[in-house]
Amino acid sequence: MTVVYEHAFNWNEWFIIITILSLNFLIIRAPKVFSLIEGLAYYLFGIAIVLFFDHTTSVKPWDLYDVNDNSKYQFMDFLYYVMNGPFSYFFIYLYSKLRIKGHQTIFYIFIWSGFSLLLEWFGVNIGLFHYDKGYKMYWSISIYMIIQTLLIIYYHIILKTRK
Amino acid sequence: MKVICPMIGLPLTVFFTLIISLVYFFLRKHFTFIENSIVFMAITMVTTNVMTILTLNLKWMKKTDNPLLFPAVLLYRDIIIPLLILIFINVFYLSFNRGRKFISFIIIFSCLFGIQALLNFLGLFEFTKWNFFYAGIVNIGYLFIGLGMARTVLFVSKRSLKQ
Repeated sequence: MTVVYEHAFNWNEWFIIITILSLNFLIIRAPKVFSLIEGLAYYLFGIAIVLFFDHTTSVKPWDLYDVNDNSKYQFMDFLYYVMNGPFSYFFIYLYSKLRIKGHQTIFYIFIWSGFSLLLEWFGVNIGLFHYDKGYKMYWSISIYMIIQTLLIIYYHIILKTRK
Repeated sequence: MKVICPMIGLPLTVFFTLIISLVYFFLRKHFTFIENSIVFMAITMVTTNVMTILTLNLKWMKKTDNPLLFPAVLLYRDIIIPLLILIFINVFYLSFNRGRKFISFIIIFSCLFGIQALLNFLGLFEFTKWNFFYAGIVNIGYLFIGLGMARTVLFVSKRSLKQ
């Protein structure tokens, strides 16, 4: 059965659209650190991994939460996944630009996990996520840390293969 | 036909995942790590979207509701199909004549179709308004999308070298 939360085009939709436009504009304007193909890889990583986790935990048999206005898969849901691309790009962009090394990486992951959690809390409040089915927001902390660690490993493998 | 041991689906999918991963790992590759990873992520995005739309929105097929068998669906969706496509594009681009390219197409298509049929038989998927003819078309679609992605990635890679 499809659960409908709302029909209106409101904050959750605007949040997705504004974030996509503004962050992509920032990507274009920011000084280039990566080649086109590397930038594309980091961008796609964010989309693919969030799509994977969402379509694993928010569908049956687990079905722990819903995204956007109803429990079906909508175009706005897809845009939400696209919205995650610039975040993963900037995660690695700043990691590279700030020359994060060694134990600083742990703090860097903590800071980004905190920031991601804050965005998620905002998302819950504007109706982007619906946790009525039992999902707890603190479960996301471990997921963020795993994803960010994987992204850093991916970055270092690309660096190695570049040489 | 009733399956004697329905839980065989998970170990069998793990077995296929390992075999296909090993084949991919030892394969002589035409594409670099970053190019392969981009195609991999793009294909997982396509397969995830296709599966969610077919099962959740259109309800043309059902996937297992058994939480213990569900990881097998994930392995099939996010590793088996994308890796088979990666094997295909690498072999395709390394083949010099059309005959070999066509044979690689047939072999990979048979693998995709065979694994899909086996998972159906084991109860991981159930066709409601779907059949093997449509499944075959979707599998052919994956192969062509893989080729399209490979071409795009090669183009982006060349542009990155010029930068």
